[in-house]
Amino acid sequence: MSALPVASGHSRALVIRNLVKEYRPGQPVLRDISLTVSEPGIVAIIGPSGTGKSTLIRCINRLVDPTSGSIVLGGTDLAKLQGEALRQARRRLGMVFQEYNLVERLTVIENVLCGRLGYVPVWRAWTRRFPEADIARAFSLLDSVGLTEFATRRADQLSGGQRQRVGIARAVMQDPDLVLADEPTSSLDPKTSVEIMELLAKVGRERDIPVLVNIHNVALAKRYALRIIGMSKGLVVYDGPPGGLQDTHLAEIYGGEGWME
Amino acid sequence: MSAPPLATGSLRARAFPPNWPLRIGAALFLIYVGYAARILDIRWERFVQGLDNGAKFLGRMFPPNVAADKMQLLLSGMLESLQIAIIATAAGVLLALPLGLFAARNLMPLPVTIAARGVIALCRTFHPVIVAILFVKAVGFGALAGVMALVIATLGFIAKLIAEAIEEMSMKPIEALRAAGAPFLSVVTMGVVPQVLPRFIGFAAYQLDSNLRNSALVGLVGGGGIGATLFTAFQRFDYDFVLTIIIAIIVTVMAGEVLSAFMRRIYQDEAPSGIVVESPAGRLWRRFTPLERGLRLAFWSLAALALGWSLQTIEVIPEFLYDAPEQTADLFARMWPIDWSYFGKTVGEALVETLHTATLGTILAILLATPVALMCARNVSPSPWVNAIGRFILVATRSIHTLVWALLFVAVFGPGALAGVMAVAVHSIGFTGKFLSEAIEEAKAGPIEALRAAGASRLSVLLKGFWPQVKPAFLAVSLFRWDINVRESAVLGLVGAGGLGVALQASMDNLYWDQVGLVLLVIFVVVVVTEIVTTTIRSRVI
Repeated sequence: MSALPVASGHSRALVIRNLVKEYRPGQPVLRDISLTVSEPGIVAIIGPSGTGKSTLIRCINRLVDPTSGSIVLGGTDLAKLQGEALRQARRRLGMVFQEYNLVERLTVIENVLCGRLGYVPVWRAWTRRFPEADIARAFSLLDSVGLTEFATRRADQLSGGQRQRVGIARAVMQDPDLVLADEPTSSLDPKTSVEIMELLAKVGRERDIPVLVNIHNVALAKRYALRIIGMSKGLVVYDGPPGGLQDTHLAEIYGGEGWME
Repeated sequence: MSAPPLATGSLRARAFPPNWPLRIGAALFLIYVGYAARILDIRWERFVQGLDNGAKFLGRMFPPNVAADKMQLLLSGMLESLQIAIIATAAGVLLALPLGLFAARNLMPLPVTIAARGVIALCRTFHPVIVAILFVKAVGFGALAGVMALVIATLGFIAKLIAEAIEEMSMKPIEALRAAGAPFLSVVTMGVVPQVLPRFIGFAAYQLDSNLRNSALVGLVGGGGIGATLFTAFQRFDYDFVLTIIIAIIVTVMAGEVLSAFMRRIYQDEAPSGIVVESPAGRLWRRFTPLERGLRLAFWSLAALALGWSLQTIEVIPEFLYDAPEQTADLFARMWPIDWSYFGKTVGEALVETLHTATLGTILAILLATPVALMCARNVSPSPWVNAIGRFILVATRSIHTLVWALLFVAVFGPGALAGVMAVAVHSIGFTGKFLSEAIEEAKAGPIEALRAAGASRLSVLLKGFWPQVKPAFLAVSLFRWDINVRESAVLGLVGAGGLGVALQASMDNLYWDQVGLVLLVIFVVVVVTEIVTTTIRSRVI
């Protein structure tokens, strides 16, 4: 599969310009990141721990506030939004978490419906009277992630892989223009990791949206990503197709060479 | 921690060198007990004489009075107490929900939490009896004052626990819901509520039976309910009727505990998982099965009916209610400027008496509670009969409030701190014994079995097997109870059992509100300092 041309125009592109994040003044975690992501499918961000991959992802949906720079999606600068406008924008950004972040004591179907909380009024959330169309969609999403039988189970009764499927279904339930995934496979075994990456790739393909994935596993990244972004010390040091990623690049990203043997 | 083995002159290392810090500590402890007893004028003769009185007193209590007119009084008193408890719990819990949320530091901005925590601290500082006294002055005698006092107590207790429960929940799902663009109230509804609901239901159920107990208390100072009936019976020396009332209170509180345990079982066990319904439009999900829906409807209807009945029948004089804010403001205005000179005359001495009463009472409570705790612990006393007797003692002592115990002991030992110490000690048996027996039951069986297998005597098993395991819990419970007992001791004087309450009562009787202001201020400072002291010790030692 090859990267599609930017057919849907610039309105859907994510354009990050000169993004800087300092948790403590003078110690930037992200220094001057500029990226444009508009092609559907998985875009993998690789890099050593502590290099700012998670911070980058979290700046995009503003779970972390950037220090400076702009993050433009569909013509709006996310970095400048506050309050209601920020909530409106977040609805269009699905997020998948390393530790799934499900509400453990709620059922699977309720967790999936949580993806609609940005759209439905509070009284519907309180009484659990979600619109019938939403409920029907939640069921069909559960079908597509293979959890049909689990709809009324409590989330804390599921295995890690099953929970992550629920997490993905919840993100898709938002009807997003972009999916962010923060280390979605780091808490899972190798086989389940592959299944989850498969599922994320399918989401990108079927919904024709970019899926931005932080990932530690270089082999998995190469296998599923259409584009790889290598980060080191808060900067982008590689940006290109997985085929172009050489050992010299990896050495630059992770430092040293001994680990590659 | 070991001292040099000089005493024997031997150079051999000793497996168990004498623990000098412990010995010195024990000696100091005994010296303190003797000293405090002297200050409080607790003497053996008085105690023996009191036992003699006690026998006469018990003689006058039996048999309990069940005459028809008395039963009528009892019923109307109990019903009013029940109404007070229901209204206070409903209103208090309802108000505590937002207050607890505002106080949670992981959801709210700092200034909001500081303000909310201030309100909570204020509600918790003063004993419900003191709050009841102030409300009686503001809105007049009767159930309304009692309700208002218990609302304040419920508010402080529940809001604090809700805030703690929210602060201990996982923030991960909250982050996810925020990332999905959920508005704040939806985050609370689907992220916070499911996580804190089980604990919240536990608190609310506990608070209902706690308010049932406390409604007997506020009546002593004019807040209506069975407490008023009890106080009148005391004043008329109708001791046989006193016993009837006490038995009725114990039975009601026990019934309340059974009910709240039942409520916890229904609501706490499993979150509902709902059902999937096939419809022409596709699959639909309903949160409750028809049976669950029916049960919930029944529960809420019953709760609404109980509340409606309580609100309808409780005696409230509307004029008093409208007047309340003005009267309260007037009350505080009259307390200013505070009469500082009262401290040297009376309050300083009363303060010392209160602190000693709390400390001696706690020590005595531990001595009395330990054997009861051993009776209750199934891994120490295998006999279910012994367990049941132990449990009954715990519930019975706990059901009767310290102040009611104080009334009884004042009748037995005469006015003064001796009655106060006894009241504090006996009421604390329930609380201390319950936690101790739980700690004993949680002790690991391995070391116990090893000692038994080695042929250790029962006492050795207790000392060397259980004690080391139970020690931390023992210290924590003792400290916690002492903290509570300081608050309780401050009000015992209202019924003549010594301490700050005597000064409070005296200045109120004389309508010297500037002196009342001083006593309230002193109680406030003592409670705050006690809380700081126990929190510090807890974080350092335990």
